[in-house]
Amino acid sequence: MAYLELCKLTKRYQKDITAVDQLDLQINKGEFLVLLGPSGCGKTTIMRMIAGLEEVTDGDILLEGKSIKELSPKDRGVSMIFQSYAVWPHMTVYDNVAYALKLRKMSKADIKERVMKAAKLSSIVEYLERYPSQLSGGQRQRVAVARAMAIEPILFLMDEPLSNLDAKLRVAMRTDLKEVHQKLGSTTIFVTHDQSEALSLADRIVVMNMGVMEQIGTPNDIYHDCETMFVANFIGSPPTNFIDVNITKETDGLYATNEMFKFKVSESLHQGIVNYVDKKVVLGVRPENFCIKEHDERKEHNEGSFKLTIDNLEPQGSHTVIISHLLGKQIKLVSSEHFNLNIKDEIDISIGDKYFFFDKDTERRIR
Amino acid sequence: MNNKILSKTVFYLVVTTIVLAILIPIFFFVSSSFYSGYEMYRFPKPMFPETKFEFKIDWDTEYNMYNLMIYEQSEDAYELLISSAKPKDFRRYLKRELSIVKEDEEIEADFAPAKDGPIYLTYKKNMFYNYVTFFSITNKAEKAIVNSLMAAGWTILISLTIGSMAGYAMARYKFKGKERLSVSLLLVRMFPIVAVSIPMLVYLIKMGLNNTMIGLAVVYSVSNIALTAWITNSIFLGISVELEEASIVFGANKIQTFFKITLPLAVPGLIASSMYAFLTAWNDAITALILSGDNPTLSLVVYKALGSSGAMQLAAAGAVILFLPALIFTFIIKNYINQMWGDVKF
Ligand SMILES: Nc1ncnc2c1ncn2[C@@H]1O[C@H](COP(=O)(O)OP(=O)(O)OP(=O)(O)O)[C@@H](O)[C@H]1O
Ligand SMILES: [Mg+2]
Repeated sequence: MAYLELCKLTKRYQKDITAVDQLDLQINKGEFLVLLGPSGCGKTTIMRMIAGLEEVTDGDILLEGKSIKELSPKDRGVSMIFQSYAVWPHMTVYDNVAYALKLRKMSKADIKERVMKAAKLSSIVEYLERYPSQLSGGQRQRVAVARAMAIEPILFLMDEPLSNLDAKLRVAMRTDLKEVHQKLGSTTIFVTHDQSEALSLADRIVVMNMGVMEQIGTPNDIYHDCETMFVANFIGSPPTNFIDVNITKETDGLYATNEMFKFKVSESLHQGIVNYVDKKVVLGVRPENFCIKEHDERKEHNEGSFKLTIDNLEPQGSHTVIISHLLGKQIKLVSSEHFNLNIKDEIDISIGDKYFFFDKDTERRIR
Repeated sequence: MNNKILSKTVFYLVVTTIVLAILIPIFFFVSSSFYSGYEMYRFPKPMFPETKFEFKIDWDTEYNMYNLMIYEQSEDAYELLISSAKPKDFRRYLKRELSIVKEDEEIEADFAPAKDGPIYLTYKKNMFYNYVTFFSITNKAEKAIVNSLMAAGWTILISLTIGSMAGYAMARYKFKGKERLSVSLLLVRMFPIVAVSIPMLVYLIKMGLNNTMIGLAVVYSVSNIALTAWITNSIFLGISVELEEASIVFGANKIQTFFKITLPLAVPGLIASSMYAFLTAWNDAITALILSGDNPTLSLVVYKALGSSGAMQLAAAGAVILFLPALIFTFIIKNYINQMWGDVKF
């Protein structure tokens, strides 16, 4: 049985703004779940409903099978790390961490022990007597983490906890957060709109869009096995290229064709794509999944290969982003080999063996 | 470059002008409060009050009287002040006009040698003569100070309690007519208190609160509640809701959150508002005249002293007495606001 379960969870503001729409989600004990999605897709709203800061419009929240929807925040035993840290500026670090414990009427000695334990785990022992204004952003963030840990919560909620830090610190802190999670084994829901953060931290990722869940899966699934065009577009940088193709049936199998190229659809996809013969579908190819060859006039084209003109190049060190156009749409390719490429050169491209088909109307994957 | 120098020059000129415009009157009345009557009406006035006076005394054989003459520096000459045979006259004159306190016997002994020829002597001025006199001639001064403190205290209490509650509600809750309420609060502030004083007097008399400090404080609070609500509204708006929500998530209820998180964070704003409330109550004389004429506050006493007595220097001493507590209060509060948790943004 799932540890935390969201059942048809719905939140509407002022009757007509639906921030979260019928969300079903199961979270296992000890799991690190990341909610990923663009701004305004309802991530914070979900967290606030779980924490009890926002009333649930419809649906239910079950913790170990029992509804916690009606409980007041203090009876839920969840911890939250806020985007702005929300450490209290008029209290020392020690008092910040001890605040929740004092409210729970613990003895002084017990409080001290818990605070020290949390402070050690998040390495803020030296700063316990300081005020938050005397700390850097990263240190304040650690205080927020220590404060959340001190109550030994049954559930950790983190709402974009790293978004206020600079890029370098962000990467360092996310390693630290992961470490803390491994040490405590606490169930965690982590919100972010930064995909690299999501991919590197998560056991499973939930991709949200406009209040609904687009896909849930491991980072690998989310990247390599996208369920919808939204996910394919949102995850990955540069994002997946979408190309319109026609499905045609020939004697030796199914083909995807358009004005530029034609290639044979792999047998494994036939089951779903067979229903789309003579219809338009969307082909999705990740930038690194094209096969690129330098154009050689003498050689004949392989089957399915086509020519592209390089419009621009963005070297990234380990790889190069090639910007080109196909049928009037910009496409981006990634090459990790060091071809000698120049703008306006032509390259030979073929679709590799990793690609997705999407229904043009529902934008869902055709399997 | 040149432009920079020019703009800097203009800037400092403006600042200097403003500072002088504020400081010169303050300097003038502080200095005046130490003048004796003689200095007060002399022209040109000395910049700083004298600490002592030099006299020449001679004996008029024709009328059998002492002539008391004072050394006038600007003319390098002695000027006749008063002639009399009786030490009592001199004692009175010295005290009233020159702030010199001497006994009859002392004067008699000091003046006696003048019968053998002119003598010169120097008397020290009693620098705090005006202050002492202010308390002794305006017999209600001590009571007035207590009254002023009470009026200020009540004003702070009433306007802070009600005003900050209104400010909090406006900052945190949505309700109908919120915009209108905040604008109308400003309108109340624009309204001169004096204008409501007379109708208020009727109410206060009905409630038996005329001539009391609570009654006065209620009237002062009318405009201060609005101001406090405005100040605290922006303070509460500046306190991130997440700070309160964090408190709730970590186990506090709304009331605990208000007292442990919101209120302490609002303290600088509350103190600033209390300063305004204090100054409103402390400095007002006109409303006090209407509403509490028989039980005056300090500023009313000073105001009356300024208006009635010919002795400007006494009024100046009263003004300094009035001014000092306000100055001290303001400085303590300013320091307190500065010290609080350094440069926290919240
Ligand atoms: N108090 C509110 N009243 C009305 N609408 C709201 C309220 N709070 C949030 N919304 C709306 O609900 C939607 C979801 O908001 P939410 O804060 O959950 O987004 P988010 O995914 O956390 O975005 P971000 O990444 O920018 O933090 C948004 O469209 C927002 O405008
Ligand atoms: Mg958010």
